[in-house]
Amino acid sequence: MGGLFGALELGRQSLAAQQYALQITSHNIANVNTPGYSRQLATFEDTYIVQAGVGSVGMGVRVNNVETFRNRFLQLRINQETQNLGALDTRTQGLEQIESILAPSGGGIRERIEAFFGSLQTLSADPTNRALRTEVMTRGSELSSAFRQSYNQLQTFQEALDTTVSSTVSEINSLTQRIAALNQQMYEGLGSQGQVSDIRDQRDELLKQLAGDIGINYYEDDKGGLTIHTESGSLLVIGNESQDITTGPSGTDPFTHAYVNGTDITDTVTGGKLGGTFQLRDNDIPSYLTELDNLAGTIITNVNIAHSAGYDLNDNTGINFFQPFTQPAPGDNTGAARNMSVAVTNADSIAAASTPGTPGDNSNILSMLNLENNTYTDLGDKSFSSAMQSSLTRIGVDLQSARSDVESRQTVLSNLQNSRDAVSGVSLDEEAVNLVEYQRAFEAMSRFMRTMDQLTGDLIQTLGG
Amino acid sequence: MRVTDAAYSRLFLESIRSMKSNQNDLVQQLASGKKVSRPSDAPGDEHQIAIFKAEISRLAKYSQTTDSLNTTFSQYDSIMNQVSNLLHTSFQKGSAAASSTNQGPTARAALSAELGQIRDQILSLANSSMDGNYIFSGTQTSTQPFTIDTATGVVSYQGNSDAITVEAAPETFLQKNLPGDQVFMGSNGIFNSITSLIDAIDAGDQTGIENSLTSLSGAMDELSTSRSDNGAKMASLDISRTVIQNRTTELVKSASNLEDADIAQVVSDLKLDETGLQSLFSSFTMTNGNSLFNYIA
Repeated sequence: MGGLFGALELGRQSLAAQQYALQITSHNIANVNTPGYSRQLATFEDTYIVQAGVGSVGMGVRVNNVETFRNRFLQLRINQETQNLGALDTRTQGLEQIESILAPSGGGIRERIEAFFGSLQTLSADPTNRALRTEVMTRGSELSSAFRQSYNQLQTFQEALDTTVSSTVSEINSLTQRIAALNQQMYEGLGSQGQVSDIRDQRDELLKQLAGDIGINYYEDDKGGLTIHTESGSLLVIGNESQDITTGPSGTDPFTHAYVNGTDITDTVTGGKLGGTFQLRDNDIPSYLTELDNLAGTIITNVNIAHSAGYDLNDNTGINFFQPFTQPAPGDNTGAARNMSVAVTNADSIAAASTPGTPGDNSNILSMLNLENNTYTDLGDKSFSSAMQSSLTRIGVDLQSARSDVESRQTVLSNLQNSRDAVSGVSLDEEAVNLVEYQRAFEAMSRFMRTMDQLTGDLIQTLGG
Repeated sequence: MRVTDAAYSRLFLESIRSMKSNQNDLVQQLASGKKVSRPSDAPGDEHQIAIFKAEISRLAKYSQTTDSLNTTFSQYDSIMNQVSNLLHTSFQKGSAAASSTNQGPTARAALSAELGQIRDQILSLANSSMDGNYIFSGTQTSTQPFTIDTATGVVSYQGNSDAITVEAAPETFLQKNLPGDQVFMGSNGIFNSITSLIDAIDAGDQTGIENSLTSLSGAMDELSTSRSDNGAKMASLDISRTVIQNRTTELVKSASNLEDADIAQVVSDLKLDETGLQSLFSSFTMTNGNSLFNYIA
């Protein structure tokens, strides 16, 4: 179709193409701050029609494709780093709590152990002095309450972490449900290429949030649907279906476990917020609780053995200084820290002497003092205070390295995001250039149509007159 | 590389975050005056600081012990000084009894009575207590160490000979107590010598008086040995105290080197950070104003 009317039709199509491109540009500009959005670009194609005897004649332009700029590999790396960072962030915050419990400002168990033996040392110089005897009882109570307090605070923190498990799990379930719904939309292939790209962007963003919550592996099937597994291979999303994670008890374990289709995945989750929570709740805190129990149990038992060998001011012997502690099983000190307290209620009952009738004798105190520098098999051949010190050093080193891990992972992640943006992000300057280009083309084409309109008018007038 | 608006903002945000977090650390150091306050600040240093501090508080306990030992030793010294004076008086009285002018029965009886009073005074000194504890009864501090048979004038020891050993400074052990048998019941014996002197005077036994005076003089020598031993312990306490003080000063210095923030450095770092932050802010507004949209109408 040639001629003037053909030229008008060419103009209409071309205007529509420029308008479409302008719309894509405005879509890009509007989404400049949308997380996960990938920029789109209209690509033009010239069109021809074949005319008998003339060959093909240009018939203007149309938009043949909306190109999206994305790099799947970068997206995958971002998701991996997001799940690492999710776990690390949670763990770092948790370790900070543990540190402040074990090493409170103003001194913790380590300082109380030293204060207790310090009071015994002072008493050894003046074993009948009642004020000094009372001080030994006070320091003993302070030591006991430091153990009880640290133990309780750690346990409370552990329970608080446990309550976050189910809320994280419902967050995960809502994400997998939404991803499955988007998979369905992908399959239906609704709308234009631009819309498909937007669905993919939304899904990528949800995937990133999911990776922040739990460690996952995923791949895209040939129809564009996303299949998601947990780290241990339990299916969370396949096609348009999602599998909810359920929570519940497990045997005698007082804490919440996570299940997929009846399989307990608790021990296999390491990534994301959930992985960090499990790591703190099931590994970090229990290890410190056990160390506190072992230390408290060893102190109670050994101080009591030494103390009960001596004689108090009234010639009584066999007196326990601390409330005695019985191991529930050999080598198991569970309960020692939680229940630690001083048994002696009267300052006269401190057994300073090794023989009856010798109130001035300090030799039993001296033998109690030796306990401080002895080493104990139950404490890994360490003394009381160096056992506590090694717990403190461990938390210090763990926290320090977790912090620097978070720092470096954050840098990696933001570099990855910058690389992703270099491919997929919207640059307003670029869009401004595109805007001007399409505007000018639109203007020129409008001018062309006016010319064609004039020519058509001229023709009608001339022939009609 | 394409730099997008989001990447720009991210860069700014992250730089601001890192600078602010650095500032926060510095302000915390300024507020507490410490660069290490938690194990995670520097696990090795924190451990070392804890060791220093434990030793400092241990040394403070030693210095409390040396103070209390000093009081005890001073009291022993003062009592032995009084006993020594009383023994001198006894010796003078005894010597008087040995001279010819005082050999009448009345004079002897008067002398004997005076010596009996002196013996009672010494007995009361030997039964001294401190805070309700007898200081001359060994470790049996609730038992009165010396009793006298009023009929025979014989004084007997009820305590034991056990030592109370105290660690006055690291690895420096001092015997805190002086068991009374060692001080008053030596080979001559303070009470024995006086009692035999009294007996000899009562009997008018000139040779007995001479012998008792020899024995008394031996007892005085024994006491002065005990006294100078006690003096030696007081001197060694002084040394211990100096050692403790010097060691404490060194430890405080070492702990402070590890623990305390270098305030001048912190302030200058803060100033640097502030300048950095200011230039970051102004560069943000500068670059953000540059948009192509400003030039197309």
